[in-house]
Amino acid sequence: MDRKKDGGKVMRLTKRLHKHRLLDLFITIGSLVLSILLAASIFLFYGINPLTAFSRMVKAAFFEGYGFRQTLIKTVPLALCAFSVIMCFKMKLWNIGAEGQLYIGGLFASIIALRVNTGPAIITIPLLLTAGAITGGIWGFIAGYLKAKLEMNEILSTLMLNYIAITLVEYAAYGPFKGADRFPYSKPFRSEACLPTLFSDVHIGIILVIIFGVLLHLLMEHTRFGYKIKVCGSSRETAEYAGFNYTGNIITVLFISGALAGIAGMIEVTGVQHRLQPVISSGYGFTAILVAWLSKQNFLFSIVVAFLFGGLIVSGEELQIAMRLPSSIIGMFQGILFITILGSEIFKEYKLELK
Amino acid sequence: MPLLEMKSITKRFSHVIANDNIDFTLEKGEVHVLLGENGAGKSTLINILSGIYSPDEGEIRILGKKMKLNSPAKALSEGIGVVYQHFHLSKKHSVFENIILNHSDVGIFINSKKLKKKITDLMNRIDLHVDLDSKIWQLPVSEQQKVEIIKVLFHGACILVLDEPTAVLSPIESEKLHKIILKLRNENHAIIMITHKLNEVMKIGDRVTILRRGKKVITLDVKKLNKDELTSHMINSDCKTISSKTSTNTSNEVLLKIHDLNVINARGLKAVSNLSFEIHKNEIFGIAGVSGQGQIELAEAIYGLKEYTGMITLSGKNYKNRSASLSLLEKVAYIPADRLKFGIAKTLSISENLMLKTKLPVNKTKLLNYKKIQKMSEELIEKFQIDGNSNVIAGNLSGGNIQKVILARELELEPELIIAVYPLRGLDIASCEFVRSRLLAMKEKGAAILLISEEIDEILEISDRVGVMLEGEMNGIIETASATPEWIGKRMAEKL
Repeated sequence: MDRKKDGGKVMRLTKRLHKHRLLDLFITIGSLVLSILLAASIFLFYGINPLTAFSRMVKAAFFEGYGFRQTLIKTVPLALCAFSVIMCFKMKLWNIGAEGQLYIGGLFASIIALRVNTGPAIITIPLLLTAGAITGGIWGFIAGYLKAKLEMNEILSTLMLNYIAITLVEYAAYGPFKGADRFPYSKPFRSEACLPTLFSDVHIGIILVIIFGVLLHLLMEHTRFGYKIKVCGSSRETAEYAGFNYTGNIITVLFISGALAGIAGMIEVTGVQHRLQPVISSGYGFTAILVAWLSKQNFLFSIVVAFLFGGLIVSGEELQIAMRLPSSIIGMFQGILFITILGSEIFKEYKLELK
Repeated sequence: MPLLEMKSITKRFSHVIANDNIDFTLEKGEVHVLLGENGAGKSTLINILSGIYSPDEGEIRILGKKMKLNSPAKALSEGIGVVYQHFHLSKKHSVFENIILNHSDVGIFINSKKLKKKITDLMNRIDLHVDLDSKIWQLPVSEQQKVEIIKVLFHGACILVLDEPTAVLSPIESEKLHKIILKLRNENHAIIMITHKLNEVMKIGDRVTILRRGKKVITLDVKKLNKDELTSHMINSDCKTISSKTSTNTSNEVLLKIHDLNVINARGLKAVSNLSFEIHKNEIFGIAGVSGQGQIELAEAIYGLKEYTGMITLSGKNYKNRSASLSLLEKVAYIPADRLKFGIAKTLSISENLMLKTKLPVNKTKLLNYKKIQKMSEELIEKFQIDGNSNVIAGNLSGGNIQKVILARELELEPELIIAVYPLRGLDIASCEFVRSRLLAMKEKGAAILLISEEIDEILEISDRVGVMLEGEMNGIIETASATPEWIGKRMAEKL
């Protein structure tokens, strides 16, 4: 691969024959340092001392009561949506639709919470969770079915289904479920339909995330089902040669993915918002794609990355309030992190040589 | 002076020599056929000529002038136009747009009228017509091929390279293409054609160069040649005496019975037609034939990867049009032709690949028992002399080791039927010997083996009976004891 002609010498990338763990670590740390330097240059552009800014960010997200609780709360939908993306990627499928699946799960959980009297919390909460999972799962299933039967590209179908889902929620919030005070949100859920809290305003979602993370890890790494999905992801021909149902697995995987994101939606409405409103998620389903990639599609590690990204979102709010910076600056940081870390991956596989 | 001269061309890929000191010449107004099995080095030679690869050694001269063809564009500008087996056309664009793509007459603005006139003139001259305004996707394969030919001629090619042009065509379409080729030849174009069809060589070839394992065997004048001579050159001189046959007698019990089998290939053409044969227990049945006579489709139909009409029975049980399902997979082993695509999951480990057709062991909690998997894998790795530990990613293995992984997995299940397609292709001598001995050992144990290969010696060495496939039909079956390479070669070439 010729990259550049330079006085007769050619820079080229050659594949590394052996993996070096220490080198891998060094490259990852190097890319993190690079991303911090790039972020610092943005602060300098605004005339702010980067050190002050970074310390405030870390403090706000992880060392102040309110901020830390917010970080934990935001970890939940990020991690669940990341599970959803990772699940699909085990079969080399791209789920860009976690956002929409989250909205659908949230919508149907809300409808049941608002319209059906399902008794005490011990019955209501599992019921709402199941409703969110099934309806989110159906949203994923649609894309899976279209992919399996009509070979429709799942990237496009999951992306487009997002817009349908979000619009449906807007319709519900502005239309049939609009509350008595005429604002575009529903009346609050009854208390039995609200997710119990662990402490202060932190709900039990974080416990669910850890349970789901462990279960998914076991499912994908330690069962026959997970093994089959991995083979399907590696080579369709080999999977069919081995007698695995490739198209059937596409549908199953997208259903499970949708269900996970649907659960995230249910948790957001019952744990955070306690009512149906037009905006259920602030792009968790999309940010989760970054989380999934940065955690190298590892379910357990993705919880940690989701926690850090949750902190990043919270610290963005701090930057906005305390330093009067635009909150979208956090989007830039996410992008920088993503590009530097994933961009550095190539140096783990290849080395740059001057010939 | 020849139009094109390739002198002592050598090309290596890491440690494989794809072209070993090959000389090749092409005169104006001739059709020069390149003949050889898959992997003989034809494609490499063509890719060197078209500027995709540069040769490690040797030189290329056009009309005596030494040329450095370092890109396909450069080769085309020197008059070398290649029509690949898989067309390089933009499906969503029109015929016209595809033809003018990258042409030197096209500037920023396209003068369609002038260019169309020019193309039409060209089409009239060579009597080859395609509707310029159709989109490529609307055209059948044979029309797309015409577009490719017109395209390279419009770009000024005087040397036309056709890579297995009739492999994708029906007999009638092939007939038409032959006429086009002869017409171009008479117009003083020079044509290099790769083919596996010996009839075609005899019919339209002027000279033929036979390649074998990267080396040139011989260049012959087709006019002074009959088909038998051609096949005898093709199937090679150093055919060893039939050796290492085992003493086991074939049992009388029929294991696989195929009756009146028909299979349609991916292009909608008939690949296997009205085929019938049987394989007994303790028997190796070899199928010989040049490439593309329906052998792969036959293997895929038996294994259940392809739909078919007719009847396939295993131990008397019919299993019509099932897809590969687990109960049967345990009884039938399949060593596929395309090892990387079908045979292994490249991104998974050796151990995961070895377990592909086994019911994975689980512990009491229904979770996978990795200790046991590890142990099973290590046993197989040792037994089949695979070079690598169980955690090595299969895609990083050499071809020989990949083949051993596939063999280990398939043979360990003690199958009743083994379908082995080109099992020795690309393997070194030691691995070949190993694979052969494994197949013979399975035969001793009672398995029926269907061995498909293009190498006659490979088949004669271990088969009990040989069938020859030609154009999807069985063109004769014979006991190996009374078979000669000539008998087989003759049936590979023409219907008897």
